Amino acid sequence: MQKEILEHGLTLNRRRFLQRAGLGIGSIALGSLLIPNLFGGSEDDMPQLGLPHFAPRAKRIIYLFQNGAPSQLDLFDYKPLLQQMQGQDLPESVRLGQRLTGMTADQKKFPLAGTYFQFGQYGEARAWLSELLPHTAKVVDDLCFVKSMFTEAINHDPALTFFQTGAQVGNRPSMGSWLSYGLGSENKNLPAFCVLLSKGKGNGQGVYSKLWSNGFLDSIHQGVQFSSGENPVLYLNDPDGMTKPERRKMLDKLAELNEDSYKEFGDPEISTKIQQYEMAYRMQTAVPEITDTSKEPEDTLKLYGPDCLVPGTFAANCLLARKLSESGVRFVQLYHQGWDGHSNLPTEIKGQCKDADQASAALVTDLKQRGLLDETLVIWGGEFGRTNYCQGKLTKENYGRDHHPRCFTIWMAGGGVKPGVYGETDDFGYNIVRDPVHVHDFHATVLHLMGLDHEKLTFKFQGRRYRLTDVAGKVVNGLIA
Amino acid sequence: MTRWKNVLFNCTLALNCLLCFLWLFEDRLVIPPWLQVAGRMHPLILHFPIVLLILFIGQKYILRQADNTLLLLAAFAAAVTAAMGLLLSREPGYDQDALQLHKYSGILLSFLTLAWYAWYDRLQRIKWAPVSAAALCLGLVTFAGHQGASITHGQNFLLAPVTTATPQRTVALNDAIVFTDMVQPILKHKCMGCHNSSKAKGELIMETTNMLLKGGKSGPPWDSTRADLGLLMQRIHLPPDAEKHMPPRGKPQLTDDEITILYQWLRHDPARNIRVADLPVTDTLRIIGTMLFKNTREEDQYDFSAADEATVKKLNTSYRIIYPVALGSPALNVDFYSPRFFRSEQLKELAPLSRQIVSLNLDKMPVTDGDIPAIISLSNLRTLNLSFTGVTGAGVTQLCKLEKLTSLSLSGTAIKADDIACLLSQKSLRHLYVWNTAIPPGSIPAARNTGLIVDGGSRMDTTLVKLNPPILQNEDRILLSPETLRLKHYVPGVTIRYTLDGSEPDSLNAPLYNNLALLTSRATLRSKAYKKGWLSSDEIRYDFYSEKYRPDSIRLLQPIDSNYMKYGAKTLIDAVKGDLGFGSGKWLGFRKNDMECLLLYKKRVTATSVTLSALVNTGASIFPPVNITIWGGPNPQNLQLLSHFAPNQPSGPGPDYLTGYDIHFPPVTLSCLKIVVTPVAKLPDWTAPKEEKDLKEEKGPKGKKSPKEQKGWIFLDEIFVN
Repeated sequence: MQKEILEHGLTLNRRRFLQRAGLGIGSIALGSLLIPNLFGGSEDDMPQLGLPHFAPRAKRIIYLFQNGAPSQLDLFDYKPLLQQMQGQDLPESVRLGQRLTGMTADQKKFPLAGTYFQFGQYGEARAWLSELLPHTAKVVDDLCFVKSMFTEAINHDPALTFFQTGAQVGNRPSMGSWLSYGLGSENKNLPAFCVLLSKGKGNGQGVYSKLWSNGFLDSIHQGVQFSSGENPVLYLNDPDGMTKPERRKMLDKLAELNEDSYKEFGDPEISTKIQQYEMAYRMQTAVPEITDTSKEPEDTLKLYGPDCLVPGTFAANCLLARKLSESGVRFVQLYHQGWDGHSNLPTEIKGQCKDADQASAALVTDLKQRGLLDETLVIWGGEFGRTNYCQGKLTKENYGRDHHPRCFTIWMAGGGVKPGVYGETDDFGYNIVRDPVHVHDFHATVLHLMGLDHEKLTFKFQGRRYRLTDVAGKVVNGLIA
Repeated sequence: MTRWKNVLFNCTLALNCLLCFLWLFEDRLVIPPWLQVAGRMHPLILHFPIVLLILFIGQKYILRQADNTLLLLAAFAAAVTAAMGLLLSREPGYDQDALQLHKYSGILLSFLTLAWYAWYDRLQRIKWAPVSAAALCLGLVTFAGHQGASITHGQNFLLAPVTTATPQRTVALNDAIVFTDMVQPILKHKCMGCHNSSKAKGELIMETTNMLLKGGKSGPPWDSTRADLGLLMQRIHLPPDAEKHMPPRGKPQLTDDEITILYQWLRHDPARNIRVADLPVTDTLRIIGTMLFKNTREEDQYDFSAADEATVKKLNTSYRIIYPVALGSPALNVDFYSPRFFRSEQLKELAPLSRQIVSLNLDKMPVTDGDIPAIISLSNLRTLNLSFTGVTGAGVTQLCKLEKLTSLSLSGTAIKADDIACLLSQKSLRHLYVWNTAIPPGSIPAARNTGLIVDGGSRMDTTLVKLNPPILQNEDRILLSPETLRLKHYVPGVTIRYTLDGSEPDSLNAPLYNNLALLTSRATLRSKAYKKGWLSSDEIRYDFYSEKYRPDSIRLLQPIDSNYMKYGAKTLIDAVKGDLGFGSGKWLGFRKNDMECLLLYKKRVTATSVTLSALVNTGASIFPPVNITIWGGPNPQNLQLLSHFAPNQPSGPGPDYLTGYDIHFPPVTLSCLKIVVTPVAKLPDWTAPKEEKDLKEEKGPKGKKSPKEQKGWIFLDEIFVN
């Protein structure tokens, strides 16, 4: 035993120790050659950008956002039970004490209000649709109705912000900005993310530029709001007396100066600025080509309705959206205001549908006949749904509906979406009974259709990585063809 | 010898450290190609540790030799193998989950053999230690080996021949047949346990289509004349507790999807062998089928390699965008933008990428037939957009040479029906878009063996569409000086007719609008738009007012309704017009009493008329007044009746409108005017049927009223004296 201890002492001398330790560390050093930037900080956290992660089903998106939340119960989600139980109180077993808005929280009774409108079934999917949407009824076979959308917010601004940015509090990048960041612009002569606004006659809710903000992403990904006047992009024309070559020369000189100051200060915003001047120059020719609607065939005018030539209308924005999308704009975001039917809902929704129905259906048809629907995803819907009970006084012909985040309907078309009806609500139209789709799931699915893995499209900011879906979201495979 | 063993031991130790490190930072490894080669040698090298370990254990326990050199060699081989395995596992294509067990057991084996060798002598002295080590090592090597084999050869590879499970048949959507691939599997799993030729419950055998359709003792299972499609569906839809419910209680039940498949199959002709791919895209069976069967998307499989990145970059311009379909995909999309920058050479320049381009978008570019050869040289083209280009029939015929083309858009080109004949027989083509061409809708036989969808003609139905009304661009309704009437309409070729005297703007007599019409004094504009092929527009109606003598002050003699008195009496002489929103503060509302006011002038004026501008909204009980009387004189104490006027009352519900009531009288010189406007004392019956009274009350302006007091409102915003 003594001998062994002695031997051990002799074996484990300093030389041996260093020799072995050297070997170990040496092999670790060898291994580290295989890891680029092991000690180089967080550069390797940046995802690879500019191209889809896998072959996309859709290349572009047109989002017809119906701001104010259209009533799913008067448009898509047919519930005859509500008509049978007209005026009766919403059973507690259905409501289950779920929260209400400040507007109906004081109401003593929640009288169920059946829809005032007739419903019919259309298309191969036999989807229920209200008489208010006769044009949509004609394109049902191209639409995928998601009847089981739900959200977390109960008031307009947080709900809208949630839908657009994946968070209820502002300051995150909008969906279009994420896509611009992840996929870049298709057409280098136009912004990747354009925003068009219109207003219906119904009770409206504001939209704010924070909804198309780039958040913490590079400002090049911000949504470009087009004006609703006759010149959608202002100050595009050269001033009188300035010729094209002169303009070119001016920009070249300006770029030189900017280049110099970039070399001096190294601020990346300077090179962004150079790029933006260049794009503005190219937009001088690209934009007039697109916004000129005078050459649209009469067929198109009849399809969208003659309002499509009146700037600032929803129909005109739909037509412009098709033209922008066709020219490679990645994400065209429309907002149509006026769906907030707290009172006088039957009258207001009639007017809203008159504006929205024909143009929305026309957009789907128009894309389809040009062979573009396969690669363009069209989305139609609001920020939440409306209640099955009446807000204020219920009469046979008049009612109002409050905000309802627990279920609502949106539709999507084209871009690899499977036509049909997805999800189901209970007979009261209050809770979801099958295949719920959360807003995060919706985002994950939309990114998937665009060829992006929502878990890989990240941006590191304030010490952590952010995604559009943040820490949630599952791709809804049932929606994908 | 010892020195050689020492070197080998040190190497093994180093390799195990390396292994440990690679394992820890596994997620961040990037393997250069030359190391991938080493990784790929894993399946070769892995046999060494297995054999060496078995040899060593055999030598130790069978030959009873004390030498442990073989163990050292085994440990070394195990470390090398594990390291190579780790490198190999980073290559794409491996299911990381399936890999876990193999990886952990392999790495563990490497550590274990090294540890055994390192403390060999010490372990020798503990009684059961060497045997346990040998057993553990043997167990681990077997386990790791088996897991590895499962990865390369597939799960259950070893036992597949002796287990009964038949391998899953994968069917491509294009080959799938409704009965064999959708219906039969359901019958097999859920029905044929009883309805087979040996059991034949209820004399029903489901083994072949014919036997199935013949039926059992209760008759055939399928009857197209019945609404519920016959016995099979009836039995399935019985309540689960019912005696005749199928499958019987306690047996595996059908899922909703399975029931839908059976129902849809019976709804189509069940005796026919329909291919899933032949069904319309929107058919329920087809939709379920696309979920069940692997959709072999050709565009995902390419047999060419990626193009040189530098070439792609060089050819990319602001107007010709070239980009891969996805990260790592060899296939390229090419989009052209801005017609005025398009040149034919730009297409020819794509020659170096001719194999890689799968999608080409030339929408609206001035492409001509002369450019077609450059296009057809792109042999792998799948999607081609030539909409609104200058190609003609001659060019289109050549496109048949594109053998892989699946989608072709020719909308808005000068092609004729004959030109696409050769495309119709093109095998790969799935979508052909010929909207807005000379090819009339529905003229092409869409049914063709491969399921080509031809989108022809316009989808617009032939119903007439109503024009939108003209837009009035004059902003002021109060004319301070003569103004040109400015009407606008955005639809080209529209004629606008208008009148200024309040008469109907019909399509025959009303004047045609040109931009010379002048607004000089009080006028009621009515205007409509007309165009051939369209329904005439709705009418627009606007009142224009002129004002000669603005009163210096106003005094109200009776109160305004407290809800609608925001800015008080001066609202009536501030020359600010209100719109249809009666709550805007630009309007004054009266109901309980008359509107009675005095207009006062510091200097005498000679007036001939008074105009009241009012709002009518019958839904909100706002009606025209029943009576307007005008008094005038030198001072409030000394007034004489000048004129009175009773506006027409509406006879039924109608849209809300703004209007002006003109009351003329012989010229009078005065410095004070008294105006009395009386609201409707009793609303007509049609406004508020008894049971809907509440509704009207809610919609109308605020304020309580008893059911007896059905007075109308009047809303005024301006009084003009001329």
